[in-house]
Amino acid sequence: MSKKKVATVSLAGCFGCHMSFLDMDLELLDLIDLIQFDRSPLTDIKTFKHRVDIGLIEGGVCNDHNLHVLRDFRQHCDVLISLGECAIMGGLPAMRNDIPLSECLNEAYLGVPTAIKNSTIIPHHEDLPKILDRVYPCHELVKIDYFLTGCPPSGEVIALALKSLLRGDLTIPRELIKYD
Amino acid sequence: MSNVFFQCDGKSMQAPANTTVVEALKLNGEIVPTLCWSPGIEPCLGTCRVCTIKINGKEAAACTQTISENMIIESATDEIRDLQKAIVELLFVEGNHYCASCEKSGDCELQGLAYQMGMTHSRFPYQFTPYELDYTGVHLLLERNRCIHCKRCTDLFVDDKQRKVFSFEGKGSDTLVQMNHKYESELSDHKRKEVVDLCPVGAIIFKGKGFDRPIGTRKFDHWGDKIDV
Amino acid sequence: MNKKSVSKIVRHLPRDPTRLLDYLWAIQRAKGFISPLDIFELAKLLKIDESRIKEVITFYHFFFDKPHGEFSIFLDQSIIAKHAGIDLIEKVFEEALGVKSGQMTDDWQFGLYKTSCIGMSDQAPAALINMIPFVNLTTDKVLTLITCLKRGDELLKLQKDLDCVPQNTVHQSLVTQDQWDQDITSLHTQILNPQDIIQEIISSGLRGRGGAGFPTGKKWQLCRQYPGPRVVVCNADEGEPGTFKDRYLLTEHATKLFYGMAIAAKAIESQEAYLYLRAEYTYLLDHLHFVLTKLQRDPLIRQIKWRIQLGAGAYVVGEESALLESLEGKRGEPRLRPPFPVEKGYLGKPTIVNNVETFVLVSKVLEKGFESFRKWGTDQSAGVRWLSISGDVSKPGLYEVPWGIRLREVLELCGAQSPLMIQVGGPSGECINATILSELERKLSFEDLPTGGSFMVFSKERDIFTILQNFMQFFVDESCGNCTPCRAGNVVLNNQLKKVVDGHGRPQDLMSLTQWSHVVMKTSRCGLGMSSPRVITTSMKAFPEIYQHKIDSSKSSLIFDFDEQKATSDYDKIFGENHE
Repeated sequence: MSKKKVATVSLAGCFGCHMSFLDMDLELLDLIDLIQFDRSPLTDIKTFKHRVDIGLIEGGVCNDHNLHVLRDFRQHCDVLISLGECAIMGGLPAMRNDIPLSECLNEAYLGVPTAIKNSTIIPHHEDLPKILDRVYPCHELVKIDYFLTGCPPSGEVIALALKSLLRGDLTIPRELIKYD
Repeated sequence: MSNVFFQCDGKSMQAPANTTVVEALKLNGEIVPTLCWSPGIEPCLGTCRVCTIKINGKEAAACTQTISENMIIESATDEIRDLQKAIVELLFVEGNHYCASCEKSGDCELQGLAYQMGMTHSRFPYQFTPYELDYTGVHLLLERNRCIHCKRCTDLFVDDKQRKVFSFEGKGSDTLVQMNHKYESELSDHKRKEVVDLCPVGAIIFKGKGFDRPIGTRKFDHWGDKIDV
Repeated sequence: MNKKSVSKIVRHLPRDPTRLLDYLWAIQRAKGFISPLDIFELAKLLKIDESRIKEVITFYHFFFDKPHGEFSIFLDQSIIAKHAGIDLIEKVFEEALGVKSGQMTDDWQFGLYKTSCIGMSDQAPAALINMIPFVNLTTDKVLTLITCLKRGDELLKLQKDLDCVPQNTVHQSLVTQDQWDQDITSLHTQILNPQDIIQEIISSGLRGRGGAGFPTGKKWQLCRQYPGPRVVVCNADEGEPGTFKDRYLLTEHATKLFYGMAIAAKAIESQEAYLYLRAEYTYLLDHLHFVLTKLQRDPLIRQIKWRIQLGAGAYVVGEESALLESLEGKRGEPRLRPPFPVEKGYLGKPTIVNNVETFVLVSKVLEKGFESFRKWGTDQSAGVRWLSISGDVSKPGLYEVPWGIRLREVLELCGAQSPLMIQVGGPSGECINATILSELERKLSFEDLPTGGSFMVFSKERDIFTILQNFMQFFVDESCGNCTPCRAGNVVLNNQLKKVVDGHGRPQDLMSLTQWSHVVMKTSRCGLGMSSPRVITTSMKAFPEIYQHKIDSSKSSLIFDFDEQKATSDYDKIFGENHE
């Protein structure tokens, strides 16, 4: 049986979900017999080489680059999974959602004690992504097939989910659903 | 007291007359999810609607109804389970529930219920409505982002002098729980604990206190294993 | 503002917390608004918590805890008013006063606000100014009005001078208006005993005119089963957008109404009767008191303790148990049922709550006998009913029609102009496609198309989605906030409808609309949430093509529509559009 191709990405996330992926201990050895990575920070492959079977999205969508990457994933992946709370509902980055963007930027770059003294410049450049008005959950922008909850989902959950998906349908025991 | 006989999902059951439908079903091993109601909550509030079931073919909140002879109840059907889950999902999009940074996580009744129902995400769009946090209390923090408007604190809680400390102000989706700061500042130790425990979510919590117990030892950490859904 | 102390202002009221609404009205009338200090004093006076008072003030639309202008102007936001040009009127007000709606002028003289339907749809656009209705507003009238008010003219005089006094235009009356030939005392002697009255009402087949259509006689009989003292309550809180027939009945037939209530009181052996009047009809309060005082010479009326309770603006209070809460001086949140009001109603006493029209008909049934009433209507829907017809018709106004009348016949009666859509029974009723001939053969009746009296006709020039969104917004505004599905669900439904209307929907979004409507309908606590999604479900059935038209099925079902430009517009504003 040929190995299933998997792609992963971290959008507006903290890479905690990716860390969790690496944290599955011996399961990783089982899994590596079944899957191979395509585009992923784990392989440092930046663009899709092939169409892949499974895409894992960490993080919500906070800027236009995230949006395009998410759409790219949707176009290249047969199955797309929201991995962790940020992808599912915005997570902690979404805490800015009820604060106007200008206020957020002012606070982050001008108002904090670590800001350069007397600085009035909020860093921006045409090569930097444009920040969206708020952080969006992935499934409100593209179709997401499965959701793995947790902040982050444990390595155990990710392993179970992938293995069950390779067998046909993604199922995880209900007691493993956790939001923290 | 005499028993009444009724049917639930095709099974014959009995329970003492004058018990609520929720309790009558529980006596027969049939668990209906509840949120604003829990054992000891009296009188019943009927605000969250999570315990919606079908009685004689019509939807009703199980906590608000009294069992009666020959009632035909539908409780564990896919249709009913989905309605109940939908309400929990509605609560998750109406407020801003960041479990990962919530002091009540693991002990939160809303979260426990969502675990029990196997909720992975909400079918409804997340609203991200701004809510103001009331940090001006002396002992208590009123974190409205997490409030589910169950009315336990407003309708069931009074201080030692029988005064109403929390109130329900505004109308519709603008309804907010408000705290009387004078009364709050005078709350005794046991009253403070009472209201923090009464709040099913992390909306009323102690000021200056973070997490209570480590992950794995909290109330709902193993919730899913116990409840067979 | 007035510096009078609260205790002085409310001197005439009994020290009774259930009269809280009266207290708040008295204070607001005297002082313009209810200040924290007033709340403090009132709490002490009534021996209740301040927070209890704040809960009530913030629930009702017409109570203010901040100054809101010497003249507070409330613009009717119903769809009929919108079509009649209330938005233009709003703009004229805004420009003439130099404020935005929702604000008060700097000199505190004028406050400009919006409100739900004020029961003047036959004379739209209309507004309430210090609770006095000004109908048939035009740009010129508004400008004159403001000038004159600034000059210090009297509101009531201006209402008359500007030809803004509400009129009741009756186009057809079958039963109510004919000669009230009964000598009042003979009516009294005719009534033998309570059981006979109830039997007469049951035989007449009269069903509640509020909308639900519960058999009136049966309700009274049920109430009698519970030990007294019992209470009679009249629901004069018609808040369904598009309805105004109770306004007419209260104005023209108050005598019949009070007799109907007195007959009910006799039937259930009650000595207490309450009329709950919606705040929008404050201008009828003096008239009703006058009629009631005049009737006091009749022992039938005299032996009852009467009270007219003025509401304060909340659609949900039209629900009978919410009305009872409000009557007890609380937030108008619907109660849990059971117990039903017939068992535990006002202050826990067995109570019957009936609509204005029901009581008027009760006195007619007793006057004419049940046979003459039964000769109208259908098997399940006996008698006649009042319709408030508004919208794109040549003769808006009041029509008394027999139950069972076909929609086509109603349209002919009122002179509908190329009708596209009929909303029968208001936003919570049913949306009908008037271009489908078979639909027009449907009958107004409890068997087919029930209605609480609102009948809105929309011509082919109207945009259906504008109408539907107005209805959904109404429910979002008027939800009481008590239960989850109605409070949160209506917001979600409103947003989802907007998404589809704005063209961002996919086929699955239409499915969600249906499924989410089902959730709200099936799980809500009271009739508001149980019927609000009907705006969506019944219009989807009547006009499936307009929904389909909004959906571009050629687009990928995997990547959803997203307005990227809008989402980055904040960013562009901060750093300048020409960033790229």
